[in-house]
Amino acid sequence: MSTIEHVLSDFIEAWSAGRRPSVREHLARVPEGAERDELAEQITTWLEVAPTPPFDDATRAEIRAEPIVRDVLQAAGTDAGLWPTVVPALRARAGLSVGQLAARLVERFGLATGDQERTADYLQRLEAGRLEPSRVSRRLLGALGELLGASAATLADAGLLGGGLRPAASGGTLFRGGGDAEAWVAQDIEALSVAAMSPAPPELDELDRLFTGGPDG
Amino acid sequence: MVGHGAVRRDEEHLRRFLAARDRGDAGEMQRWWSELVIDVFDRMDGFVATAHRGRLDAEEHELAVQLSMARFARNLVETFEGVSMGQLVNATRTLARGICMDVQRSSVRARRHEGPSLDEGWQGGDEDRPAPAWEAGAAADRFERDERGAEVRDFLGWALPQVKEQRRRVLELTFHGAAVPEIAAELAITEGNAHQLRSRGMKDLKRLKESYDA
Repeated sequence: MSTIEHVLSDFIEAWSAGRRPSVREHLARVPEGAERDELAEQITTWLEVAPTPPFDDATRAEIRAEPIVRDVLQAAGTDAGLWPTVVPALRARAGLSVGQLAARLVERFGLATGDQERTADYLQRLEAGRLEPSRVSRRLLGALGELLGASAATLADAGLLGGGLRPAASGGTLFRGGGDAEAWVAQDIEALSVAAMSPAPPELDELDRLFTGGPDG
Repeated sequence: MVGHGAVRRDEEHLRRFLAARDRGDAGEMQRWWSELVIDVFDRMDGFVATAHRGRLDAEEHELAVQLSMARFARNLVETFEGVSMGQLVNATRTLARGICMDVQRSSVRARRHEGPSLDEGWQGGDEDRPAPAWEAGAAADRFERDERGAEVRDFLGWALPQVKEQRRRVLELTFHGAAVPEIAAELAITEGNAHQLRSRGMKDLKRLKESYDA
């Protein structure tokens, strides 16, 4: 009997028993090449048709605590999604510092050399989860993807992960009848007056549009 | 470990998630989405591993799984149009393969693979009321019947009769969770034979699945 048959059986029985077998470890038990390819094909077929084991609560808690699962679940509750985890990891894997990545972006978009520091600052904000993914342009995602070794769509997925799971922000205004409404309405009017008299913010330049100008920026 | 008497839950999680998505109930969506993320994690990890077959190191493997889970999680909310775990598993496999290629492409620059669209299997919900907990007997019975999802059940119903009898019996026992010694005893064959028949049966299923999906 070949090793493939034994290893496949071990995997199937561990899966069915809910012991959470590692595919990587099982594949590593046979030599690289034709045998491993054969085993991978058979395990894939099993994964395609096998029912999910009925894990008990302790096992579900164990899966929930896996770093990847924990990150994904947490990311669903934050505006930045998985970017604070994924982008630094991709950048490290590409062997680039923030400054080097900024320099590549400046070159790629034909920005002024003086923009490199601002670009690095934007990148740091992006990695820290302080930039809203939905405001980042597709052009930038495409460039980042090429430089970091992931597609723009993959980066977008990581950033926008939990967007659809959060309640939409209410567009309405709530008025409360009680209390001294006149005073705070007056304050609001005052604040609006000040804002109206203030000079308009400067127009977005190319760099701002890339990082905050929205998908088409 | 598998709980004794525990109910296979993934189909029910998916049903509740899709119903919440149809209603636009973000809180319930997030609740069932979280459970589905847990349901699918090991399978996703496995699909990623069989896709790269050891060509990614541990760190790259983790990254590929993480990116695959991110895509899975987002697609489930925004574009998944299926209704069964079978459909979800099919989409998951394709997605993991695509992400692996993405990661591998940059990892091994000399190797450039062309693969299926990362979104293959994903395009673009039943009333959901506060049903009894799934521990309830009636629900348990229903979910046991539905546990594999329509697609897989349909495929196996079509494929298994085409597999030679002994291999088919080994596969059927395997799907019921029987270990090799039990299979060997049940079919009056050696354990070595049971291992072999199981492996050959999986090869048959792979070939038939390719025909079925074509």
